[in-house]
Amino acid sequence: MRSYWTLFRLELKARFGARGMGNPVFTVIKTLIFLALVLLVYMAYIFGVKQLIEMFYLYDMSTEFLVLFIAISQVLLVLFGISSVIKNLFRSGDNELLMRFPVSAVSVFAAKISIFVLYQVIFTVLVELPVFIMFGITTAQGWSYYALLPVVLVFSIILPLAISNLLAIPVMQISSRTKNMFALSLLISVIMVAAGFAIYMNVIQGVVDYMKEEAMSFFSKKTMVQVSKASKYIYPSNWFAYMLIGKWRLGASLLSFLVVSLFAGGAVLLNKKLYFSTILRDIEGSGATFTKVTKNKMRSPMWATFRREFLDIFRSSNYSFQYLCMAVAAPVMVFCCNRLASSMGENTIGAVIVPALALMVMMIFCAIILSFAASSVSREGENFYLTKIVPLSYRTQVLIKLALYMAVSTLSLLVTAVLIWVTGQIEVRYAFEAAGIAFLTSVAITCFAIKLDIKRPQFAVGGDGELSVGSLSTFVTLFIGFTVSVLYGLFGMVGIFLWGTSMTFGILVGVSGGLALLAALWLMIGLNKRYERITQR
Amino acid sequence: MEENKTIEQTEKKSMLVINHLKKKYLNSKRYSINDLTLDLKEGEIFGFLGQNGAGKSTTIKCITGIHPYDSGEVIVCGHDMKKDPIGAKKNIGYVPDNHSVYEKLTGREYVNYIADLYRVPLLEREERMNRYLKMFKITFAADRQIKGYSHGMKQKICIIAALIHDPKLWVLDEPMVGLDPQSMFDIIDEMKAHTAEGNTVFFSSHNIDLVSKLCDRVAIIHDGELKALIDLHEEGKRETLESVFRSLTMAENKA
Repeated sequence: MRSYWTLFRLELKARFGARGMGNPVFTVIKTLIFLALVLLVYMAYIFGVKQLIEMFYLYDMSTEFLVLFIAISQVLLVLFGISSVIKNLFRSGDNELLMRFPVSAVSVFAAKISIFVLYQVIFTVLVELPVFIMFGITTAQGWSYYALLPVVLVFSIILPLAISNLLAIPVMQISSRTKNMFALSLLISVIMVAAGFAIYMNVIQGVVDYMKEEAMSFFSKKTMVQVSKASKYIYPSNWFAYMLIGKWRLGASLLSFLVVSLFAGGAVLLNKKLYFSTILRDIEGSGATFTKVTKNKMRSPMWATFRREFLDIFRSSNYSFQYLCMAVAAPVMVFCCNRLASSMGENTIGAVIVPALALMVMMIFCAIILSFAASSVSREGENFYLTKIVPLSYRTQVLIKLALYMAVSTLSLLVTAVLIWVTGQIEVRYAFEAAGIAFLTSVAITCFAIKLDIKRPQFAVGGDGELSVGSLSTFVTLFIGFTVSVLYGLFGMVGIFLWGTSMTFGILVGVSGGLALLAALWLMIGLNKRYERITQR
Repeated sequence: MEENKTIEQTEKKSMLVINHLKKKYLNSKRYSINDLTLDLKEGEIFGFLGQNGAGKSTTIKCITGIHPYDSGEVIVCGHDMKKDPIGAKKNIGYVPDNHSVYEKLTGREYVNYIADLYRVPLLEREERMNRYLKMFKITFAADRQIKGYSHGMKQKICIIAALIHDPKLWVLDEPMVGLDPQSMFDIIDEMKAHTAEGNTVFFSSHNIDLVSKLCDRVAIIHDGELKALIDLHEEGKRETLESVFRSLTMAENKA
């Protein structure tokens, strides 16, 4: 028991201990902006769910809503849980160290899982509880609903936790086998991100449509019937819901208890038996890498560096997801966002503003993708010395990085322009003009991001040689990118009404060109000296 | 004979000239290198001795262009590191003490990348790569991702990458750490072969015995200052190197 508390405190310190590094003013600003954004998203979530509850209530489908909500929450918690369990329990950086000490597997497991439970409790209280309360009020539930709510909440914590634990080991084995299949991993990530985003935006679109015309259903009538039928078979979420609303309460309660006990018991038994041995096998297998037979080939120094830079991103699941996956999925995400923004904008202001909305959405996604450039130097990590000793000027090396980012984002922008043009969201001329403006702004954002990183690089890489902390530069780049995008969007909408689309886009091309030029000058002037001053002791 | 060699050495071309080098780290009150002056000639193996924190690695990092320095000069094969860094770097092959490399590449990809940066012609790189892979017995791992290499294998791939462009000045920071005896002998042989072709080897080490046997000259640094420059061809110097080192570095570093 004593070792459990020691390990638990250690876990808490590892996660929340080392704070207050860096400029305190920046830290406060960063925290305030972050909190404001979180609050905004949270309010939007609460508002959206409230609309959904009312809509389902209107169609006499409240039970179906509750079942669906519980099921979706459980699935999300399981998905989040699997990755957390793998990351924190099985592949935690300190596992190898802890195994050398005289502590039992149970203590290590319990200390690590406690943190995970803490996260689950926070999620349940912040995300699920308000929805259950809103549901109770809207559908006028009695005291028994509220009395049984804590039981359902506890079940909602235990069940995903247990399922995550049971699934973590097979998922780990699959991920170990596929970790060097980079293209496949990227493809799967792109499909998942694009599909997830499309579904999410469809739900939002449904809420918006419902708000526009309350009589209109979120789904078609046929879909509503199917949802109603399917919700009867979504086990055990339907039992949890029945337990709350008093439909077949005793049976549902007993079955819920049985299922939760079974999964929890199974997870405890499995981990008791396999926890340490799985960690050991994983540590042993972590060195397994790929073999690729290539011929010696001569390339120009610039092309060789460009290629190496790309491979470094492509062969890292983290970087590939953060950058390449987002860039490839961006056209789909822009398309979905644009459709939603257009339907909202058209309804309130008029169809003429659609090009400005498209531009804003394009630029927001560009900002997300290009924030990756704000770790260009930091990502070199322990290899930073190599950039100093090779006979290639710092300017050339930085330009190569810039070229890589621009190549990827330009391709992404072009595909986006074609997609929104072909699907009839926007005229061909405006689609490519918007892409052009977004391209010029991307140059400015990328130059700005690289410069920020050169000024304040953070070589905090983990054991795998990859950046382990998010940098302030990335955050600042994102913030500036978002701000510029919104300003452009607002200017575009106002400008279209005042001067028409051609004139407005013409002005934005000029402004973006000027910004790109200024940012490029800011990056390039004194670059060699600034780069030379970067040191790693 | 020894005397002749010393006279001969002074007439040889300078491969690395360090003049009154001074380096202070940001937020540090003392100089990590203070007024260091050295002149390394072609064809010599030059050892660099000092305790931990004496300034060996910092000196090496200034020579190779990794760290900027406050004052003084570093001239590599006639190229000033500040005025013509690219010219200077073209002549250096550097093996770091932490054997950091781009681990997501395979050994062959990494060496090819370095060869591309130094514009090594295909035939030359193929001949050198095969020779070194064979010498260090890692041909079997050439097409494997470096991430899976052992400590020693990473060190070896660093050495191959440093030699792929046949540098005139080969700089090594603690090169023998983590290597098996046979690989150590191979590196020693390669150092001798490299200098026999008129090139220069500059390496830091804690192994006094190795330095005394292998080097032509040795510099002892303490607290960032040059304490002694010893020509090991002079009679009795090899035998007394250890006691000289101990007497010069007895005081605690101020670092």
